[in-house]
Amino acid sequence: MPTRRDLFKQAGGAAALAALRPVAARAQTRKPAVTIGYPSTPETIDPHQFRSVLSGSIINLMGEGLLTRDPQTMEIRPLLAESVKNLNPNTWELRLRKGIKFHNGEEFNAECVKFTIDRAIHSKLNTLSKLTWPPSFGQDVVIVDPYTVRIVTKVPDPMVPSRLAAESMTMTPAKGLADYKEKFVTDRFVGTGPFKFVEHVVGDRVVVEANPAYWGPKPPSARIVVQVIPDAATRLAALQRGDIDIMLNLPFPLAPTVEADPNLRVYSELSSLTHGILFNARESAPLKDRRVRQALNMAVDRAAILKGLYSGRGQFLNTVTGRNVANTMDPGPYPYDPARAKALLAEAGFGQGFELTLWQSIGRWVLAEETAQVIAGYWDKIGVKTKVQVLEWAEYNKRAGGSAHKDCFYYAFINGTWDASYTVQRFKPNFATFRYFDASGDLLKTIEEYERTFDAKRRKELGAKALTGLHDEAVWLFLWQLDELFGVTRKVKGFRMRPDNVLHMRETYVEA
Amino acid sequence: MVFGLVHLSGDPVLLMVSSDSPPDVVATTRHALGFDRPLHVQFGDYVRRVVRGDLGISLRSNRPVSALIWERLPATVELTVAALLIAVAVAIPAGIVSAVKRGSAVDRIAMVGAVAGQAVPIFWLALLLITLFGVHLRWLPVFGRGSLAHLVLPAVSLSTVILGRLARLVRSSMLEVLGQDYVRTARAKGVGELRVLAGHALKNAAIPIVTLLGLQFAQLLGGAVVTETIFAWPGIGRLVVEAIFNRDFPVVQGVVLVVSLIFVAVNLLVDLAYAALDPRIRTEAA
Amino acid sequence: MRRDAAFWLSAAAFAAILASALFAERLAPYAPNDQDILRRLQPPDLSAHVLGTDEVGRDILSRLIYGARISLLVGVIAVGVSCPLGVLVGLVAGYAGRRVDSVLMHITDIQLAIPTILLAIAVVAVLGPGLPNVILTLSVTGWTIYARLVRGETLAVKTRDFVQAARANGAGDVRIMVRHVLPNVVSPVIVVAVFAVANMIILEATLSFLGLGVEPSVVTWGRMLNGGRLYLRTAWWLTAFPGLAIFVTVLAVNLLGDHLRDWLDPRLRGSLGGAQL
Repeated sequence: MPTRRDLFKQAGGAAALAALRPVAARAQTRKPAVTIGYPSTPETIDPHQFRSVLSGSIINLMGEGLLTRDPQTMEIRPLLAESVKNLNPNTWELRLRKGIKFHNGEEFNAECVKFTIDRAIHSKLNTLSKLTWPPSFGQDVVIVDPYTVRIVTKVPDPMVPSRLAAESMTMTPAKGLADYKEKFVTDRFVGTGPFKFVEHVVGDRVVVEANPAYWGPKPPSARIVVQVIPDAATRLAALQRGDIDIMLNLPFPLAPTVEADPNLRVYSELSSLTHGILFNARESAPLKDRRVRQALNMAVDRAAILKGLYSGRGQFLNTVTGRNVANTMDPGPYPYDPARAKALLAEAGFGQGFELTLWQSIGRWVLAEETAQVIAGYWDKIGVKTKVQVLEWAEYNKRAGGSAHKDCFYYAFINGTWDASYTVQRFKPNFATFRYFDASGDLLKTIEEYERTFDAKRRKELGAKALTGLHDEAVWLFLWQLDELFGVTRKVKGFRMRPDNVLHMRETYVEA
Repeated sequence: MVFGLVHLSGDPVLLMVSSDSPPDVVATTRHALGFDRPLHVQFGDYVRRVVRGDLGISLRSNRPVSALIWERLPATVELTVAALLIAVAVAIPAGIVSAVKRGSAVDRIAMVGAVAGQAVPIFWLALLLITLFGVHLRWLPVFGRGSLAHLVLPAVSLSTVILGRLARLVRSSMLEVLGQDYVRTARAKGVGELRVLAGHALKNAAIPIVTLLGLQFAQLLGGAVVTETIFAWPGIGRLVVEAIFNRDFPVVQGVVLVVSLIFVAVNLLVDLAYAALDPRIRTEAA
Repeated sequence: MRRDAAFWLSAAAFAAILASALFAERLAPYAPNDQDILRRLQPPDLSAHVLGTDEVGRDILSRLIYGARISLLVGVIAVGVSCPLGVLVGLVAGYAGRRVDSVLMHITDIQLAIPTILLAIAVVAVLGPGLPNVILTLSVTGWTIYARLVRGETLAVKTRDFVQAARANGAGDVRIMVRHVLPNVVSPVIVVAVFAVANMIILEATLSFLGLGVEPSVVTWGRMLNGGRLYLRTAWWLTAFPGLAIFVTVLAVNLLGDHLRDWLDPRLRGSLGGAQL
């Protein structure tokens, strides 16, 4: 049986191998459990139901997909599949790894792949995969032999490997969960991963323990406890007391307290969330004019806001996709130039200014209300009288997705497939949600061609062209990606956040 | 009466206006859950199930609502009772002393304390307690439920919400009673001051106090949200707020129903207490 | 009636707060939403920002002065609506007894069981966000406590001799309720109402914090408190001053309320004892 290490060699992942090495030694000087302070209750432990990256990170401890991503580089790597081959634009062939057993003892084989994709995409269940890989793609799993499957799609889809590498495509046992094909699981988790499910006390904690029969490298920790502590200040107090080893969602204002504590440190990683203000260029009269949207971009001193409100912890965003994502590029910033902004407004016939409503949600993003206020202040200065309105999240998000916000609203997008196409496709006029700007002409053609293209080099060119086009159209007020902050004790090792915000906790341990 | 309660507490208008499903809920799910049926059909169905003791399944966690409530209710009751006990233990003596020594320095200090308890937001006090007793002195745990020690900080924080109001109410009720004839008579007869206060005055001043305690008990059961959130206390307040924000109707309806049933029980006890305190009320309230 | 220093002090404090609310534009050194994020979190400093600046660099003193307006409005109107409503319900329930009592008290129980946040979401969903709707939510939540309090007291008072005497003299129900029962049950109501003003100010903040309150450009003390929450350890002045403002207001209202009660309550007034009527 090839070990996981062989697999990485095959994949040429020297960097990943180096990352794994320190984990092997020094097992005796570790605390038996790692406790992680979560800000909210994981919504589920069903591998296909979860929505949040925090739940996905827990699933990732216990379950595995056919493919996965390198925790540092985000490159796609084989996991439960040994290889993946594109036979033609509609067909992908995967060879499965042999001799792998689920936590219930069942063997992993082609049946399980078919069962999983049917459950995640073609069942009645309200799953995450249905959103990231819509059933309209017509995915079908053909079993060639017990360890070979072909995935056939009706639509040519170059993104199949990245869809298979997502946490939402965690493999599940065909026999063990046979009764749960049309039902979510709430009391157990049956996967192939390095950790086994112990308990989930809703609103309090999730506990997992090391799987002694795991096929890959043994995890360095015997137990991982996810402890829910909703209040950030209490979470920090628990960290200072040593009740928890890692604190998620450390708010910027509390970072100095962590830095001042000799036992603690701040771990930060650039978040993949891309923040911006979406302009409703379909319905709000002034915002239909590109010059007005550009003027609004030039009116805001982003550097001052990032420095003042976020202690400079972040990177500017100049188009609709973030750094690190496949096929992204940076077209460069709009300058902070209120004079030119005013000139552009005058050119567009709005020299007298106009009134604008800026929507924001509360409790969703850190310092959101303050940010909206500051931006409104900058717009006021070029004569755009801005009124900030806030709304509770569920209603806000419903309006946002339903293309109902006027005139503009704050949002932060994740990237579900880790490719620029994920956000770029949203500007096609036939896209179902978040329709605020319809691409047309050459830009639309570029986006459509990009979606169908398999060739890596051509994809890169098309991606760059589309992103530059969207920058020039100033479809958003482009803001930033912020750092994600964690408070950790100095004894925590092997904890990291993947660039797509999924927590990599398999190799985490705490020194005794 | 159960039907009436269900009808009003599960008021479809009130609950359904907030029923904007999250954008990611697909139409098929909507159908599977029966939310596409006419409201009155859904409501009739809900009532039939509730009568059978079935509160439905949580949309978010897919677990039975009754199980979710049953897991959380003891934590909330524990916290509420503890907070009320602390409040009573402090507020009643403080209120009596302020009434007897009306206008004195003690009275003034008690009033300032009572007002401060009401004006200081609970998160402020809670964080102060956490920092002092949890982080610096390390005497008490700062989150979760378990031992008696876990209960101290949340119960003390929560009790301040009630304390000030209660102490002031005890004071004002005592003031009224102290001026009345039978208290003067008792004093004139040479009955000891403590007996006058405890035996005659407090008993006669008790009706608003008992009412307030009953109300607070009921209110805290449904609404110690801030305290439960800060101390990660696994209670029903957090459950219902999370459910409201997730639009998890079965959970919201279930909690409202259960809490209102508890209210009815508590208020029955309050009415019985009235009768015990003032026999003249008995015939009327029965 | 004796009016001591405490009374005059609280009357003066209340007048000062009222004046800030009314004349905020003239009194405040800065506009409440004027921000300078490069001068954020400045500690109190007599030469520039007397009470310091907040997390986006707004002047705290100016925000306090403007905040008085909405906070007082919210607190006073919400109590002003909910208190008489609750008193009326309680009076009728307690006085009429039996069926009426049982129906009214069940409505009260159900109202109590409905979480405020649920109500707030429903109000925002139907009527939209904004100040009047916040006040509506708070008023609808607030009345139950008075209803229960007054009902309990009424049950006791109506059995007393002076009520029976009035009835024997041919007084109508409304007259008995208003002239004889009400003055005797009003004392606990005042105590609770005074504290409710503080409650409402803080509850408004909670709703705003959840995105169910007034729009962000409107300054309230509660919003200031919430905004400073994460800075409790590093910048105390963000929360201390609005907290102090609420404290002083409630204390002043409390002392004034005491006097109001002394004046309204016949037994404490000493002269016109209820029992003698």
